[in-house]
Amino acid sequence: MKNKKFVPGITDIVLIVVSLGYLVLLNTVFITCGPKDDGSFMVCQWAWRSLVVLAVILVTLSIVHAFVPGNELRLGISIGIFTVAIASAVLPDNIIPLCMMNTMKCHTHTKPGNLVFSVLIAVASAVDIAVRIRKLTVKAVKQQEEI
Amino acid sequence: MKFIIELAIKNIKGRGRRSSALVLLTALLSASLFGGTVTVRSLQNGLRSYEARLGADIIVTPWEAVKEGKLESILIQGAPGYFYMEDSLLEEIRQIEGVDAISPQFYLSSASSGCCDTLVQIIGFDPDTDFSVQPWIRESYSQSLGDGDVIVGWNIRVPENRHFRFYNVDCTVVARLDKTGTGLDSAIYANMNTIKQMMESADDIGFTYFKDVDVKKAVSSILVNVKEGYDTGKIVSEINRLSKDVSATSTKDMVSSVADGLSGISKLVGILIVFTWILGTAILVVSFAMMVNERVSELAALRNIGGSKAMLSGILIAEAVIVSFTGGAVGTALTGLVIITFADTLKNSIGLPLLLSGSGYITIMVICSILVSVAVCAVTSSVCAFRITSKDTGLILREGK
Repeated sequence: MKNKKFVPGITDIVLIVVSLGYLVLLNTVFITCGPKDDGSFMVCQWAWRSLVVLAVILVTLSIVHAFVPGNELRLGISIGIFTVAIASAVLPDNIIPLCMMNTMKCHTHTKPGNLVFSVLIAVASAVDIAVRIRKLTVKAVKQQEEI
Repeated sequence: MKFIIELAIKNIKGRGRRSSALVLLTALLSASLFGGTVTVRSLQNGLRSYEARLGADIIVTPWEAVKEGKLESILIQGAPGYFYMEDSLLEEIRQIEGVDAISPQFYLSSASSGCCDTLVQIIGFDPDTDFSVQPWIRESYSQSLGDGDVIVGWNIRVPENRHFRFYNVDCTVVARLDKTGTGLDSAIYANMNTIKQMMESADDIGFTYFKDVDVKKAVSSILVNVKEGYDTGKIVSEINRLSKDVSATSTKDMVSSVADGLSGISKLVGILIVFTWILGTAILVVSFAMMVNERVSELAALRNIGGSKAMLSGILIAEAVIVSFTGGAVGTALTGLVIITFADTLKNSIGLPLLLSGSGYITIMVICSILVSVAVCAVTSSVCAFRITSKDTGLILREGK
């Protein structure tokens, strides 16, 4: 059996780079407000922690997406990435509340940064979904013609 | 026409890397035009909003507040602050000829436990004399502000129980103001009785905000409106002569100092846009010229098998239009996403009022930015197309160049 050489597609590279960038920036630039004077954390901390978990899932899915064979599997993973990206876009402030002042770091850094990266990942995965569906449709039509 | 577009799309797909580079370049051009214009326009909106919200001709504050820039910090950046002087000046200023209206304001910074996990600026006003805050509060709340009622600025989220507690004084949020793009978005507004109660309570608890000023007689600033026909500068001088501990400032001067900062940023953004466009257009011209030279044999062959000059030009222009439209759309979409989501971060980092334009203006700018990118690419490619179609194709094929 001949080993196929791994050649990542444009969407594979984009998904890995953007989701890795998202995870790194989430832990460096898009961090939420620090602890209060008494050492306790503000409510935005829980939103941020959830986002980190989602970012780790996105990075893992993006890497797996680049290496698994077959359009069917890749399509499934892309749908997963798209869903998680949408979840991470709406999570802060809508599902888990942020702090009460719009001027605080969770509103000025975490929320916008998260939105930009989540949208980028969602768009890249949507493009990938469209490409995979097209490839599968073409394949199905060819098989139909052969029959 | 359909054939030309199909061929252009195939050519773009066939040269993926070159097309991606051109898409990136046009994305950069449209992003610079869209981002720069929207940012400058938002700063101008912020300045107008700041000017409108000042609402008085002269502001009188303690000298210490002017020296340390505390008033500007509160009004522009929303940094909580406080400063106090005796209210005895109120009557003296009222006696000055040319003074039309006068009203005190009270600034108090919340203790961090009061609300919002951070310090909040509380601004109090006298409902009987106020001419500065109430006119724009009425845009969001038509009734008069009762004792214990507060109105919050755009940046403060209203809690579900609509309840705040500052210095042991319970307050009910009755409304949230529209966005102004200034520091006033981060303030809470209360009437004079409510804020006086908070100030006295803060003093009782042991906060040392008031230094040697009697808390019952303390005011933070006095807003003055000048009668028509009187010189504001003269009245400012007269107020400054009343006491060496206070400073009167014309609001026009405050606005013009912000406007100076804005004009500097606008010039810088303008220069950057022009520079990006000159550089980008030059790269586009070179890219298209190289692209056409590279494809000279292909175009000559097309001409020899019956393709008209118009058809060849059409293919080249269609390729340029498709690539530049894609780049323009990507550039403006990404820039729009970043500008809209990071507007508050940008405002905080440059320290100037910033109010994003409405969706109508942004939509027009998106269309204009894409159109300009498409137009530049179309013109550049049509010049290249004219040059190549004017050559003798037979000669090109024979000589291979």
